[in-house]
Amino acid sequence: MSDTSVEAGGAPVARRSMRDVVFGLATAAVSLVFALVVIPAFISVPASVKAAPLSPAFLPYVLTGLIGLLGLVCAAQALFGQGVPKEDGEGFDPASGWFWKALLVLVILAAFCWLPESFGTLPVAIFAMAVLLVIGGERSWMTGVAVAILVPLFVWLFFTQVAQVPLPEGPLEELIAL
Amino acid sequence: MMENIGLGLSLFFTLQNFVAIGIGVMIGVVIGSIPGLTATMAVALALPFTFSLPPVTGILLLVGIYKGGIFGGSISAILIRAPGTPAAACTTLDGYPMARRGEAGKALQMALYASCIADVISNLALIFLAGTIASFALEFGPPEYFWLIAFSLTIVISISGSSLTKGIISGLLGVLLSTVGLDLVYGTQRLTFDNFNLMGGISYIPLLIGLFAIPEVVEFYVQRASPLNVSSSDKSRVSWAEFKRCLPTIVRGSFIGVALGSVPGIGATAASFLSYGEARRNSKTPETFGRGEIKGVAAAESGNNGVAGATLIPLLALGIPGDVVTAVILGAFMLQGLTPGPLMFQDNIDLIYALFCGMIVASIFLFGSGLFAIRYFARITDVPRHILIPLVLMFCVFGSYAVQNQMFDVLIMLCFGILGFLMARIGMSTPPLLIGFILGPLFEDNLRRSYLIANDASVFVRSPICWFFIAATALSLFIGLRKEFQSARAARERAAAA
Amino acid sequence: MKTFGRLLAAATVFATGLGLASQASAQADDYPTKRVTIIVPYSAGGATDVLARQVAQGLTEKWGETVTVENRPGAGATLGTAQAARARPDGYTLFMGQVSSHGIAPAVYANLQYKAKEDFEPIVWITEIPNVMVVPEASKATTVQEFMDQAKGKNVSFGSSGTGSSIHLSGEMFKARTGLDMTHVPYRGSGEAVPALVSGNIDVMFDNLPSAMPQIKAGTIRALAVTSAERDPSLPDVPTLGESGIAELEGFEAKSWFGLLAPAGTDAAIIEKVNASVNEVISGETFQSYAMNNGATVVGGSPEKFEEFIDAELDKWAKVVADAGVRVE
Repeated sequence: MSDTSVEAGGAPVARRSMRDVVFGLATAAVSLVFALVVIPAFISVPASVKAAPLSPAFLPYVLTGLIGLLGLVCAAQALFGQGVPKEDGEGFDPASGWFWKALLVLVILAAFCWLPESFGTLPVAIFAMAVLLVIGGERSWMTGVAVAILVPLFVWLFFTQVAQVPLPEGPLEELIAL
Repeated sequence: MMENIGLGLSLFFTLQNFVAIGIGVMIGVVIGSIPGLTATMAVALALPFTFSLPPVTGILLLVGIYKGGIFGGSISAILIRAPGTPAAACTTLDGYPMARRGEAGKALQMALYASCIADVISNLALIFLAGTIASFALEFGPPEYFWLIAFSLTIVISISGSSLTKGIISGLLGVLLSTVGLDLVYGTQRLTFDNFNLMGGISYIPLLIGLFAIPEVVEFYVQRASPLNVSSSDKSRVSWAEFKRCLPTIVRGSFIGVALGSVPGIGATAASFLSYGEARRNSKTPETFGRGEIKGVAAAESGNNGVAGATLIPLLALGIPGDVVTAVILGAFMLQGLTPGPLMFQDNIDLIYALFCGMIVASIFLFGSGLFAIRYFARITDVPRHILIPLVLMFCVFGSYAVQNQMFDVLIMLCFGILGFLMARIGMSTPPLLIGFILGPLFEDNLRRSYLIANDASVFVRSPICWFFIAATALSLFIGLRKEFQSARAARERAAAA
Repeated sequence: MKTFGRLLAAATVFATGLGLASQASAQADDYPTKRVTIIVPYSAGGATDVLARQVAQGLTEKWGETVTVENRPGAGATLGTAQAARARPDGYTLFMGQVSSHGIAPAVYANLQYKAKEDFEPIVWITEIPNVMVVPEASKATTVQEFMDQAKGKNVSFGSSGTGSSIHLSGEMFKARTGLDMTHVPYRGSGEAVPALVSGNIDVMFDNLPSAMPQIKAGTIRALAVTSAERDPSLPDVPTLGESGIAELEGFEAKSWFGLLAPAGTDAAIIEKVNASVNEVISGETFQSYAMNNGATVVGGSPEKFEEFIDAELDKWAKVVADAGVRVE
């Protein structure tokens, strides 16, 4: 995609095949657990099932089996294959502190899942926007504040007023209903 | 006959109809371009308004929204990698890389050309072949559907990206995820982990947004250098040579769309992926697909818009809605006291002709409002990235919520966002997961229905249609796998030589 | 102006950074003072949704306050119903109940997340539609008796719009009463099942009358009987199952119905007001012609009438489910 994907040299290849071995074996292990524990526990099969393919658990078992098998294939390919130097996706070139930034984005998304009920969607959106602007590198306070308020306000108005989506408003509900 | 056409024309040529189509297409394009707000929703919201309109006007309004919506989805798919409608998911594969290369304008234009051409072809199929196609579509019983879906699933091979093994795992995972929810036959819970919200299954649009758009958002914050070099003045345009190069792809995609659209229940998303898979398979340079190949955009958009007119075939000819949108349009007919089906061709043929005229006009309007929309929407790429990305995130969150008005769907989006990000890290392609998720229920339902009807495996070879799709599936598997192995070997040899 | 007012209100909140929620209690006399929502447990465009939107539009015109429809589909209507049951009982969230949520589902699903009786206050019964027993054009049967004769000793498949739907349960009821060997083949919605019937992939179906009507009119499927107690005005020549002359089918009645409910605890005065308004809306010309075009019979009446009817339905389906053995644990 971008030019960063043109990576060459032995080290990344070896690392990548190591990663594939781990991924493949992990997939196989998870599939095994899934087939032995999860499916029996969370798919109930009625006694009246006439043919095997009619069972609710039939396809899940087949799929889990195939996934596990392909996990092993994937690991085998990485171990015994000729070390095909395929470029997969973009090169990953993390910025300093990337892990914390990624975590922060996830926390913000999680906030969207649980906070709007108690604080209202719009305040949460404004707060999220502000945080993201800061870690995104907004320099100017003036623009930052203006964007952090106006952009969510616009999106919120669009969804609630034009598209008539009843976003949770928490304590603001009474006020907005005026 | 001529007299009926004359009546139809006079029924159609009113200012009101033109206004209805124009408004419909424009609403469709805008709603379609917003992730989470789908064409279906827009059509359903507009339904009550049609009650007070004359039948032709009301239905054309809905058809306009539908067509506009399917194209509109490609706008956000290309610009921000968040497909506005499910059917545009495939457009992200090459449209978004093009936009990142600074060719957003070109990608949007190609999407529009492909959409409009497919739309016209689809309309023509509807007008001239409705009866024939419709009776053919009725030949599809559960076993025939089963093999058609099996064949469609083989496109996973073509969209697996760099690792075929992982691509197939991704596809299987998609099918597995689609089994979550209440069991179709027995009504028991499957993999819901006693979570009430999962009883209806994993919602599709949050999954889609999470898988495609969220990794892009996260990527922006964690990458050292912004991987983007959008030229702020995007002047890229589709050249005549490029258009000519894509035309066969567009025509093929349109026919795939028509074929899948006229069989009830398959839908635009599958058609766009199938068209994309075919385009890649027929390409001399399949490795360019997924990296901003303009043919990829053409294939995806012609596939999904080819469906738009064709889904009306079973509706008008048989009175059977092929998807949710046409089910709503059927509702509109019924509200007007009209019953689509063979009888309508006898009793209200003037109305049918008027509708046909309207659909042709809708294609033209789609082109016009598309050009207009592109001009303004393409400017989104001028917005500074660090402002655009949070805005995208906001649309993703609100859009996921809007699907069923529940925060649980935002959580679904978050989970699939994480999954999508991890999959990108380990070089596992996400489109197969999506295809598996869409086709999985069709695959399983028809497998089980076949057994219920016949209680015997011989039902799977009961008709020529079955044999045809069994052969097609086998052939597609063979050719697809051989091609992947060849290109893998070529890549190895290149690496060895280097 | 209203939008501007809301905008202003919203802007004020953000300018000051704090919102003081006014505790406006819902008074019956000035109800409604803000947007009212009707929860529909099916996706947009379905029969329930279209009906709810008709009612919502009528109420909006009547009250001058917006009444919106909120679709909360999933899990055979039980998802949206459970959410409605937990809504604040202030009269601003109403629920479009139907035969699934307040008839069949409580009987079929053991672990339901709501109580059909205790969690809801019935407001008004709106419409009902009969189911109709239909066979493909190619079928030789022209009466229920002929159908029975041909089906004896064979395995017959009956389609439905999904497990636990009224279409499915009507079939189960027929199967239990006649003792025929019948296999249920579920589809996802009538839209999928009807083509399967037209093409003869399934042998019979007890479809809702409106979704079968286009095909009956076109002659691609044949109506053998309606499942209501009386003949339907739109199909005057088609007998009821009770009239079919088969002893086991006497008194057979299965129909789909729709009505408005509120979460339990809603002010009785508000319920009275909504009941009166809805009764006015559904007796209006717009709604009457809508109902006629959709093969529905308008019912209306008091909350008590609706409540009695729901009780009867719950009892009836509990028996059918127990007889057919389709309860899901």
